[in-house]
Amino acid sequence: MDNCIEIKNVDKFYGKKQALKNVNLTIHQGMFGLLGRNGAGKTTLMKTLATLHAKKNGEITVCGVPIEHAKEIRGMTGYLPQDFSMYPTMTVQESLDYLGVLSGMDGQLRKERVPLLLKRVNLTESKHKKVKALSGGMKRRLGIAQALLHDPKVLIVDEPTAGLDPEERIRFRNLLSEVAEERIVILSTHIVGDIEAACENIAIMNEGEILWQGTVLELLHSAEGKVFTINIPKEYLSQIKERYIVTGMLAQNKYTTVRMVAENKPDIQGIIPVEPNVEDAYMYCLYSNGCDVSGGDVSCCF
Amino acid sequence: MLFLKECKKVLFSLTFVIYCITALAMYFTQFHGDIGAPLEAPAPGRDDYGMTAKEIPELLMPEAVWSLITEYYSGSFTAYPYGFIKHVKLTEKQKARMEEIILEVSGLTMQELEAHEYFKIPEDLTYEHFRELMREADKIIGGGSKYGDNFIVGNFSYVPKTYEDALLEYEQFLYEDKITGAYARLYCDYLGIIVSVLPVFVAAALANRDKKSRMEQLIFARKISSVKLIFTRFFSLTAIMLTPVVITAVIAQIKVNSIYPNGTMDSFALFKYAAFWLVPNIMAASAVGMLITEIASGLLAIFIQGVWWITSISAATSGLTGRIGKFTLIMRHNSLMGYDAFFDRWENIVFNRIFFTVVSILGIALTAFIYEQKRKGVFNVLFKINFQNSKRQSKA
Amino acid sequence: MSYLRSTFRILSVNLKHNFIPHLLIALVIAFMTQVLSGITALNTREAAQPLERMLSLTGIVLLTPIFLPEQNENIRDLIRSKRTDYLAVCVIRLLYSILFLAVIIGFFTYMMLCRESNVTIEHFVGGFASALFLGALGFFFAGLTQNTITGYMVSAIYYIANYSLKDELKNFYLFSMSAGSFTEKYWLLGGSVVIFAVTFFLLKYSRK
Repeated sequence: MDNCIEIKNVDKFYGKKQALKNVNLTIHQGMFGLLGRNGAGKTTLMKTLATLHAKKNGEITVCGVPIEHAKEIRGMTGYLPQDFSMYPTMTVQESLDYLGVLSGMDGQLRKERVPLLLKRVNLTESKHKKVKALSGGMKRRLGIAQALLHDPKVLIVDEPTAGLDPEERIRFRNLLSEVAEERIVILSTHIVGDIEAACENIAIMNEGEILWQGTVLELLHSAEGKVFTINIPKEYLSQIKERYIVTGMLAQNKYTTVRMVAENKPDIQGIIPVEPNVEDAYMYCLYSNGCDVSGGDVSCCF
Repeated sequence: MLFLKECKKVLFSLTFVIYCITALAMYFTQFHGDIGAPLEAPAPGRDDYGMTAKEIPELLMPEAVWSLITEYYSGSFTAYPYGFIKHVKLTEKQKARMEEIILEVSGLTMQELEAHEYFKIPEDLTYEHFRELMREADKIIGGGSKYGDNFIVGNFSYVPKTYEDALLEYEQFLYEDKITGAYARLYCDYLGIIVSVLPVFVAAALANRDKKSRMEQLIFARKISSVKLIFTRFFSLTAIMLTPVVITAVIAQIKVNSIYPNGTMDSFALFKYAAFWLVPNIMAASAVGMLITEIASGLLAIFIQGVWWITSISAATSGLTGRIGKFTLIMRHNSLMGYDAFFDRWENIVFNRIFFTVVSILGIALTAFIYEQKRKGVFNVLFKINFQNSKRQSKA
Repeated sequence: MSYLRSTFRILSVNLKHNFIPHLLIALVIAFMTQVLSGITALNTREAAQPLERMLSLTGIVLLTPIFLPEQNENIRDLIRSKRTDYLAVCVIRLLYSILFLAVIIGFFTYMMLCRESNVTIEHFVGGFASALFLGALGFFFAGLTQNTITGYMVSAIYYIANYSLKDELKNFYLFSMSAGSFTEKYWLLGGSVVIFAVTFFLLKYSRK
């Protein structure tokens, strides 16, 4: 059986609104990043892969199994929803055990796996805490533990780092990277840093379409010579923002260092080309595909 | 504007739509269809004008005593303490006291009663004292019996109506009630059944919606004061919940006008009655919904209002007209007649409606207070069945 | 064997975490029924009253919240992403809820029998049928709208309608036994089964 997910010509509608437009993707073992703005269709695609949504047409196979065989797919998929939550009165351990039952694991296996996973996500000491008493980060860790509990071949995690503090975020990325050594991990995010840190292969989505697919290096490569930086007085900032796609700013006294993306080198005195980072490359990708990126879609500043 | 926004939220909620459909269905199946023909003036010289309860001691006393003795011998007393039938058996001690009462009102001991086939009311027994004894008998039985103040006249003392009685009632209908007043009471009687309970569902669903759409944390952080927010919600809820009432009242007014093309009518009677009679009910049910959902859960709010409703409606089923107490939640008056019966209790009714209005507003003030405590993070929910289980971690 | 064991595990976990508050409210209703309405020495028709008019409400309380634990969309997605069919979990919940409903009504009827009320097995079946039907309505609307309050509301409205629409409701009149007729009960039982089946069917095939 081939160890990959194949998505061919998939469409999906919510009423009249088309949420996925002719999506084609092949996802191999390792960490795969799905990057896009809020509302780009990432969650829809992930829910479709987790058999929570039915697609309109097209074909999806997971490790050779067509997505229509929901039970089989669910057996080999671990899913962590965007906002993980569980019955609030359950304890951490009870939650894992119960979700294990629902995954069809027998008692012996659960006895082995539950403590193992608790240890792995560092929740052993909190195993008797109730879900409602968990902090955001702990809840997320419980979420990843339950998704890995039945040792799935495919792990689907939707916006896993949103709302985590920087320390938690780094720990979470590391955990995902470890996990990805032995399975397919699909991760969606609108935070570029997640992709940079963890993914080899990525796809960029916008309005239900796959705009771009390849490796991080290829993405960076595509934006070479399109990223510039300039030091300007603050009063010119709004003019620059109007005309160019600004991917970052750094204010120093009266001057601001602006980082921007443009097809050709802008005719401004003092502008210098720089090496693109993933953020720039992502913005360039959106821009070069005709997406409206004006108006502060900058997700972080350098 | 916040008020309009809140109104819109209510207007487009599923529970409100269900509430509207139910109110309209109630109106059309119960009221609208049944008032087709105009009430005719009673014709003189008929044999039968119906019966009416009238307090006539000579009639009442022997009937009541006879019933008391019969029930005593049968071993159980039938009562409706909460509107539901109950057969009450007395303890030995209670039996002994009941025998004393029977001795006082019939002048005969149990042994004598068994020997005699009849009894006579002792001459020295005053009516006032008799009623007092009956009150005591009612208390022994546990309330809701035939002998209590609420039921004794209706059970044991009714006389045929005379032509004059019937004519008087009809004239009251025409001139005191100006026709529409009588219809307004009937209208409120029916609508009251609905609006005294269903708003709790709408209120509870709305309070839950904040949690469901994860708005709670966002709203908590806003500047608006809790008092302003909660009261705006309450008044918008009440206002929107009135829409089916206003619509049906307009239809009813037109309908009544068409039945009595030549009558002198009060064109606003339906609205006056609705405002006075139904608004406090809507407020009470909404307040329970908002307060209990805030303190505990929507399920508990529904349960509490449901219990209140059932006990109130059951208490009313044994007499559909007039009997409105100071704390009756659902005022019933299922008749076009009975002007006197209604206005005899006018003081009760005014007290009743003002009471429910004031208590509702106090309840909402309490809701605002609790909401404020939650905002500060110092309030823990007491008894929670979650309709929405998660509090979302705020997104970065 | 392991299938049986996991069924049992699902059952026990749900009983512990998703059932007790509702059971408590049902028990409070049962308790209130015998306080509000007598259960001593009632004749055949009178004995039907507390069963049909009060105790039937336990059906709403027990059967409407079957879908409540997953009303939070995130939890629902999580549970649905597991290998075990989510609806199978719901079937388990429905079955034990119906069982508890039968036990409560059965025990109540037995209490009436002990207090010299004239009750028969028909009273038990009749009271159960009314409760089950009310519960089925709540179950249906709660499941379809994914909103438990709607379920409570619709079944409560149906209950209220029975106070005045006896003739219109015909075979689905809830309080028929108090009026001396039992045939409605077969309709209510059959209707409930149909509603349960339709609900599961719709939920299974109306996935987004």
